[in-house]
Amino acid sequence: MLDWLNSFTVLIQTITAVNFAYILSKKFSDDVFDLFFSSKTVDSLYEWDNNEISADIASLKSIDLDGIFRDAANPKENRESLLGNYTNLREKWDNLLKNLKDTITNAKAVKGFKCLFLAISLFCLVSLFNISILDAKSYELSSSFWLSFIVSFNILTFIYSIFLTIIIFTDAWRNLEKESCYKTTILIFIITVLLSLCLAFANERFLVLDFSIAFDQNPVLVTIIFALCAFLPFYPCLVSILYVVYKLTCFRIKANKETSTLRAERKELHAKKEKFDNVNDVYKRPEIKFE
Amino acid sequence: MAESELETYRAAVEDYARRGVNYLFHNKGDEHALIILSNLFKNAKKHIRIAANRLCDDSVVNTKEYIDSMKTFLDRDDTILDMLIVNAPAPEIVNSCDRENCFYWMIYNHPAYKAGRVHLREGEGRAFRDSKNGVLINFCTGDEKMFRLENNVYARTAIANFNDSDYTSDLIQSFDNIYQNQKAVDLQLYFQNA
Repeated sequence: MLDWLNSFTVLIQTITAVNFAYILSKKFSDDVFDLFFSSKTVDSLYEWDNNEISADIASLKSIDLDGIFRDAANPKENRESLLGNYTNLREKWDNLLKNLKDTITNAKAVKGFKCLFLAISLFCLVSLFNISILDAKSYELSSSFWLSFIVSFNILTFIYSIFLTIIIFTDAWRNLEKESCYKTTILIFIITVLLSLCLAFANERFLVLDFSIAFDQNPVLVTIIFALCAFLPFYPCLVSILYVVYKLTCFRIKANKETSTLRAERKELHAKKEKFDNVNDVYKRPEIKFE
Repeated sequence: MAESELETYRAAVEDYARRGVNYLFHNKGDEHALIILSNLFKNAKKHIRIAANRLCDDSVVNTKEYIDSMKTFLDRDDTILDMLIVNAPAPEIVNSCDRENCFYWMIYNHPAYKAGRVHLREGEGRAFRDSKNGVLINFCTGDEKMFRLENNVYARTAIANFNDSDYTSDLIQSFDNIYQNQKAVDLQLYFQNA
């Protein structure tokens, strides 16, 4: 009864791990990105300036030059010049926003996240299989062989996950088709499993390390090996977050520098507009009488 | 004005009105007038004063946006609307417009009118004018800090500010000084057969 319950528990854990990895791979990296990196983030950089530019342009166009400007020199030319400057400024903002949005699109297009999730979900599957093998008492192969396999498999998968992380941060798979990425991922994973089996056989044949004794004598080793095993399923999420933080920091530095320049230009233009208004007495508020 | 330019202007006005930014808008034309006035009405909390010609033109006053935004103001508790027109329009002029887009019809049916929070008076030919050149002036104030003043009622060129207490107080004082002495207009005159 207890054996049946254990097997059933392992089955449920397997299904949960697969579902967890599948759902995460589909949604996680996109959702984290959208939280920090959406187009709304970019649009909000422009909102304040856009309002003032719109108000200044509309105000300049609405001023009654014939009614108000009496003594000013060339008010129409000055107004046209100011309007031209505002139009140029708006174009610069539009170009900047386009560049920033392209930066976001490029960052989101990096390949490797879903492959990392796929690799780790396959790792979870194999690990659960390993655990159930170890747990089954009637299996013929020695538990030492499976311990060797688990150790090799965990270390090789960890190295493999580091490799995928480097792929993500260097954007090395940008020109690869998505299907090619998945095929490469699965192929390397199969090689990992086969290599782990080979190492386990070799260890068993040449008795390099007797893990069953090693584990008794060196509990730290046990802790490290199983910590790797326990940590790995969360590794893709951690990599996603670190990647987004890294990209976000780079994006903010770039955006701040470029928007500061345009904001300074907008303030200068607004000051010129106010000078224009003052010189031409457009702030005149008429005194009124009722008759 | 190009459609996208008008929409960005509308967004800017809405933002400045909501935040009460002290910025002097110059504006021109019916579209600008409607954007400024509807935002003034929506953001006023207590008292609106309007000095206008007849308040029954179809290009600004008798539009859904103008009427709905005034309705938003009147729906608030204890708000007051004082209106001063040069001459009361003839009944056939008021009744010629579609009821759904008739400002006076909305006012007449609103609970605020029955509760005595809305007042309409006429100057019997007299109006506010620029002291220097005698040009007819229309204006609207919202609470103690928002105003829109039309210095050319035909071209609808105007200045407006959503946070200028000084000038708004001057306008309010000029309005209140003469308002109670003007002839009251009962909207029943137009809608008694409704």
